[in-house]
Amino acid sequence: MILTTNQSNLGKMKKTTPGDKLAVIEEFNASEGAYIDKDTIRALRLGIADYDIKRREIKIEPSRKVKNIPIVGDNVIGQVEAVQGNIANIRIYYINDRRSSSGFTGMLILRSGRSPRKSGRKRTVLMLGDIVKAKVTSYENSIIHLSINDNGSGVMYTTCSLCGGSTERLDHKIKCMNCGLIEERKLASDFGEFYQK
Amino acid sequence: MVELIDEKGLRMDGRRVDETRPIKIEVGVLKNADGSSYIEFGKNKIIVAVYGPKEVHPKHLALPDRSILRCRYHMAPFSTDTRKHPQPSRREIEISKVISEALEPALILEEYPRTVINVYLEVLQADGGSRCAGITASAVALADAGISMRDMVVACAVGKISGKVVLDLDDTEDKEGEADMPVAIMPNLNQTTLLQLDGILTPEEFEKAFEMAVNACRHIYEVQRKALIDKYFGEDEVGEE
Repeated sequence: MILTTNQSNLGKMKKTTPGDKLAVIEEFNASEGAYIDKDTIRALRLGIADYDIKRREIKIEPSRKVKNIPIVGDNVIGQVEAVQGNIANIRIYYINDRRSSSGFTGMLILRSGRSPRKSGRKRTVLMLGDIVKAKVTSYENSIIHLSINDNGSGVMYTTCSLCGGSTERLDHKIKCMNCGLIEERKLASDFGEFYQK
Repeated sequence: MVELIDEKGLRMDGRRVDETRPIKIEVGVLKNADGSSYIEFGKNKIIVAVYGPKEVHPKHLALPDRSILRCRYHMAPFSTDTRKHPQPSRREIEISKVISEALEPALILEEYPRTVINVYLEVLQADGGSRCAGITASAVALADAGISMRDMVVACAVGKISGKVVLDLDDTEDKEGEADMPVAIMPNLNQTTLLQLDGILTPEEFEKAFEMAVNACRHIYEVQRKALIDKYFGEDEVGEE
């Protein structure tokens, strides 16, 4: 292979700040963290430029990552801020187990399921203040749509709606350890482990 | 009448006409901000904090295809010789807009749709040229926050005093001088993002002034770059090209 370009760049790591010239387009393709400006590949971020000779790509490993922004497919953990009919607003605090202070809220459309035993009555899926684990399903109309329909998702932590006491899992329900009230929820597979995280 | 340039061609603070004031930039000075910086540009002292990308409030302002850049330039009440009312003045609102427009061309806002990036500039001590120092520090804070940028943005003012084109005017020169022209550039892309002119310059003076400002910006860019590299890769690692 004949390389007519600056061979000293090849296979090395280079510290970059935004706008730094990394190579020309005849040498490499711009991958993550790099962009093409006319015939030059430049850095988009502060970080280390990794020249991949096999794939002829330049990628920047950022020194400082931008806060997580939820995207479709992400698992999020948040708190129920409001419940109106079949819609709950969730304030997102964790995105893929990483703390996020970006303050995003998602909309959770509650499944119109009915209680398996008592027909005619809607099942209580979650209540105000519950900590829930959900999945981002879409970003339609600039709204983060969440879902707790899969098996792992649901309420991770809640308190008794009557006395505010701690609760424990009772099959698919929860029982207050203080007053003994039994309530319905759609529980996450790791219910009760929120504080351990 | 204040004598701004003496017979030796030196200015009141002893600088030559093409000399900037001493510059010091620090990165990551605020723990709670996503990105931050502190700049001392002569007697100017400015602290900048960047928050975001985060959710936009009120939500109807969110753009579906890009982020919003919001800048707030604010002078502390103790930043000037007489107390400055903390309420945002007309001048501060204008400078906030100018700074936002000077930074925006460098940012890849399309990467963060439906979000906002807030830049807060707090002038602790002002001595002329604070908008330029603010732009320079803001670019560093944005890079520190990990925001994708086409290039850094650097700014420096140039003006005319006692009939001569001079670089980096201080407060007295700004008030007593005949012209003031802040310039902001993206040094690697060779593009101008801010050009204002208060006063009158002839076409020849303008060309000379612009060239001086660009050269000064390239010098300031090296300080910016060194501050970022020092912070993230250590002082021994500077200057690898």
